[in-house]
Amino acid sequence: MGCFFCLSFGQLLEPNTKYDEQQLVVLLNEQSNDAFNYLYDHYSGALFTIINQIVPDKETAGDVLQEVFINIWKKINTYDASKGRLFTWMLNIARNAAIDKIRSKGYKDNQRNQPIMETENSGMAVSSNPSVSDVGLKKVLTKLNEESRKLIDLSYFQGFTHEEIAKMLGIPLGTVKTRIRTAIIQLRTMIQ
Amino acid sequence: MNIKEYISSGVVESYVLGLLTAQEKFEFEQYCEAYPELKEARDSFERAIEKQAMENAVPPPAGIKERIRSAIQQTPKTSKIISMEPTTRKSSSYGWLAAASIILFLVAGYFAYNFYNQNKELKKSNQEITGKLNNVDSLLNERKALEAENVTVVNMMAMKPNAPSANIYWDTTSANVYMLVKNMPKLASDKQYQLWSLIDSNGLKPTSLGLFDGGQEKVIIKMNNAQKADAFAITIEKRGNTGGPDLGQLQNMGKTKLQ
Repeated sequence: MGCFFCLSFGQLLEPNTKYDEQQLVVLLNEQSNDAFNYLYDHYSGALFTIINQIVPDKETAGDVLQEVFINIWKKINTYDASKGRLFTWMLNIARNAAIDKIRSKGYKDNQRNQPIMETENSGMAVSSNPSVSDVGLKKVLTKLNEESRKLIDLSYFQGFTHEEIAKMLGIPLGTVKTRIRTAIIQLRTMIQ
Repeated sequence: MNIKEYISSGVVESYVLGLLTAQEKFEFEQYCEAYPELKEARDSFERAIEKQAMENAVPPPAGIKERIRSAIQQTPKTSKIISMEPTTRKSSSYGWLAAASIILFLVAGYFAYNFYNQNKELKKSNQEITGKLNNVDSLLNERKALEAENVTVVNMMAMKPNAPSANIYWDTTSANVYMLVKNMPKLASDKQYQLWSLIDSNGLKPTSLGLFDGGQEKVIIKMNNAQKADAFAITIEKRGNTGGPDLGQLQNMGKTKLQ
């Protein structure tokens, strides 16, 4: 049976074929090489962009991208299509890996050795760093007001919990929650 | 719950962007099952984010693809991975780690136990199947024997109303005799059927080809070999009969040559 699938799906996998997500997931679960090629060629740019917005150094961001694709490959059998699209799943893996990276001890030590790094808020790297490509979500962020931008940056790009942000900014937890929701709703209207 | 309010509260976007707490995330997934419009809103925001991300994609540095490829070729995918989906972060993850490791340990134990039991069952059914296969194998061998070129098929004519129904397959080259029993009425426990070969030139002196029990259906029985036979006969005899046939109890008779 397995071989039958290999053959029939193999034929679908002509170089320029576009797959729908369902096909792609089936093929990835079968560890198809062509499916890996397609996955990488199709999604690596978008995933790299989000990683690079969190991890400004291109080379380190590349390392994270590598780790992310290996994880996607290994964990594809845990992807549950009823909970969302494949891209959303991959995007969250990428975002989490990037945040883990900037929080790792090795990365922080390395940053400390850099001559001058624009920092703010108790030494956290900040998204307004000009080396970060201002594209995608980040570009949309620039249209938000200062406060909303900061909240999205801290929660989405730096992965702080609402509690942490509340403590950091000295505002009540409920206010942080409401403001982040408001910022996100603004964000949605800009994207759609 | 007012689903419209819920949808417009920003929860959909927060879910997709991975900004909900574990509890909120769980709730959202439950509501998605119950409210198709919520699922639709989620899907539509997911597509918007995806489109946005794809349109603004910046190609990664060259060479990464090859690095990934060689890495995934070295690490064979494990068959079952416990889901480690991203959840909301806590500043200290050690408590979670401890809890997670205990859960992992329990889950691993559970799987190990299950695998052990499954393995035992598989072994048992494997044995059963092997046994059945052996039976089929020997049946097939007998079938083959029956279909060989030099086999004479003798239809045993009933001589009594309740006579057994059987065919004799006689391989004149190897002298093997098989009896295919279609139906063989049960006998009293001290009685058995007996198959005989009869030779004309001998004044039809019967030679025993073996005794067998009644109550069988659709089986093939290998009987004693017969070098020569002009006819076969089945009688009912005392269990373990060593003497001649009781022709009064002749059940079936079949001639090997058409006359």
